[in-house]
Amino acid sequence: MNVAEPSHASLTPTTSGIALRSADFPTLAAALDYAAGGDSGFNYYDGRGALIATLPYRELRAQALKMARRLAPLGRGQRLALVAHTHPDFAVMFYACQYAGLVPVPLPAAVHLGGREAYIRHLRQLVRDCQAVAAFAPPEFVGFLREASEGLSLALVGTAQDFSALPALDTTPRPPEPSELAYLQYTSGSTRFPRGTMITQSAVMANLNAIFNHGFQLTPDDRFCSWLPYYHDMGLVGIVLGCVATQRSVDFLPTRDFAMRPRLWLKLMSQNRCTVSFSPPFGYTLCARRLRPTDTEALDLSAWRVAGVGAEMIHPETLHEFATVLASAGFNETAFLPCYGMAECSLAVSFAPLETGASSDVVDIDRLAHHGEAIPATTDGTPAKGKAFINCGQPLPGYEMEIRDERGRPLPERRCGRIHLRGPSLMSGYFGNPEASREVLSADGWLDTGDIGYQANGSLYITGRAKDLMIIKGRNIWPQDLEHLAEQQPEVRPTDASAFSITDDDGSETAVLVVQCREADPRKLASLAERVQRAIHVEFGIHCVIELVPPHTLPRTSSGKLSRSTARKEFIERRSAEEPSESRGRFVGQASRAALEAESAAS
Amino acid sequence: MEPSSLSETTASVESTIREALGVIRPDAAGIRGDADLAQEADLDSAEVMDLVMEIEDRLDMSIPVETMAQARTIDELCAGIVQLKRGAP
Repeated sequence: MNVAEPSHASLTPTTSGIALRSADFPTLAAALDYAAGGDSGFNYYDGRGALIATLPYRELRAQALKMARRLAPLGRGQRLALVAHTHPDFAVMFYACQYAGLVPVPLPAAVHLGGREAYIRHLRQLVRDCQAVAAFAPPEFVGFLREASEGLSLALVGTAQDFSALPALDTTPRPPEPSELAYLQYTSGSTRFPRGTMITQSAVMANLNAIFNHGFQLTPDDRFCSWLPYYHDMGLVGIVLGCVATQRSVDFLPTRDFAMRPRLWLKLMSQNRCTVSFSPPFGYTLCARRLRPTDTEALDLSAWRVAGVGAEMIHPETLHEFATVLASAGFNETAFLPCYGMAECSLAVSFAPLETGASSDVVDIDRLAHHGEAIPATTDGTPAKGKAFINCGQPLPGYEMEIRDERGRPLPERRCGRIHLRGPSLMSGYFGNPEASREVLSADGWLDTGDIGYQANGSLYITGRAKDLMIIKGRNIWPQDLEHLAEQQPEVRPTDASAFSITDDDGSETAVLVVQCREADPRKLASLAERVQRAIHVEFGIHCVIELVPPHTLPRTSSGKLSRSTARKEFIERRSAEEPSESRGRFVGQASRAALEAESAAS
Repeated sequence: MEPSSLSETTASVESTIREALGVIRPDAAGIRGDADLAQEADLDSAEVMDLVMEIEDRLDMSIPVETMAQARTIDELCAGIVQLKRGAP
């Protein structure tokens, strides 16, 4: 790594100087071997927008090879946990694992205000789940990692400097085969029930090849900019691995600094003439709401030709709001490129057509809700209440897609069902969890995505989720994690809490937790609600509406299990039946009135 | 650092934190120093980052993750920042 002196910091150039190859390599290591022949690479910016380090691919390869000789004795196929902060050392360690035949496991690098203990617990659980033999963190995070690893039998826990002190082999280890694991990627899922997707070299390379040859083709002038976390598939696979595999330069901004100063993202895009960047819808919203008129005046976003958007439900208004705010800075709304994917598929499954922007299909909301049919709202001449869904494009080559009904039968076009996929970049399963793997992967290779959608003219439209996952302000939250926090309180017994989310008109979700308890004293109830809310806040950084209800209120299925969907329906009914003034005493936290009205109209 | 200037630093950092909080939640700037900050001021994770930015800009320093991770209240955040300032050259 070159730690740049501010005065003579030099960016890696957009032009690498070698013949560009489009991710047609057998392994990640082979991709870096080729990229190292050129001048492009990674550039790291800090929260003030200053370039603090550059890592040309040539340098990345040299350092990774050196480190690989020190890692190889840890054992081929063993897992090395890497706290995935946006830092050059992460890239070196990740590719060192590639050369050494170890399996890198990126871990989250995000802590909430006062969330030290919760973060350490989470790290510890992931280090154990992947049965890591050693663990790495950049200096800012190594304190957390050391504490998280206490008492676990790891060969080494430390920074890149600590790993450099390991004894080195005399020879370079044998590079990985396409059939070997490339990495484990934890789905940004439950903190209590982590699931690490096992991705082979051939799976990730098949996906990168399809993305950059069919999803969107690159031009010689393309330059990437990214603030996406390295511990999510879009940031790790799409940007870090994708740019090495296509020999493009990237300008990185740490996620935390983006969250603090979203305008820095756009400033970097503008000053370095970046052409490609991806974000979940939440990132675009954050920018649109935080920018001041003086910020947009100084920006030139006319070079931005691919503004990828994915990772959560996309609502047309979100994108339009961003485009409107930035139109004067030269941002072209047709740059939006909606896509669909998940860690279980390495990364991407489908991309909308390029240069058309986000297009949507407006369907009759009543027929969708009652019959599962996605019929254009305008076809039969009668006015119907319409809802717009975004076109996420056709599946990438090699992928088969089926929309299935509740009994698993394939549905025709414009019928909503569970999205099932089969293709070359699917995971091999969840690490150490054959039961969870069997739940989603069939013997004949189909993945049940847990997402709900329909196809029209071969294109995919996502309408919701069958799985209970909630996405609150860009963060994936599993209901069982919130329920668990409630059940930690002395007044609450196991299975006395049910969590779900409600959605308001602009598509943002609010978390709700309904808790049964025998307590009747209003002061004690208020204290319970407050404790639960605080615990959720510390662990997840979100607000949650807490409703306390008497015993036997929560609905159960015939087999005695809690039904979150029924609990949600009943919650909405209770809330819409009540006058706003009455709700004050019983509820802590406010769901917006609009959210409740939208929900009760839709259910 | 002299004890008297330590208490001055603490007082000035605290008033900066409250000023920053006032930008994001005007009615929350007066919350108790030992109250849970995010909870009492009703800040979500994006607003917490906004608050940290306001504080960083006012104090012209960056607040490391470790300091944020250990601070649940205004008092704790204040103590963390004072410690950083005292450690600085």
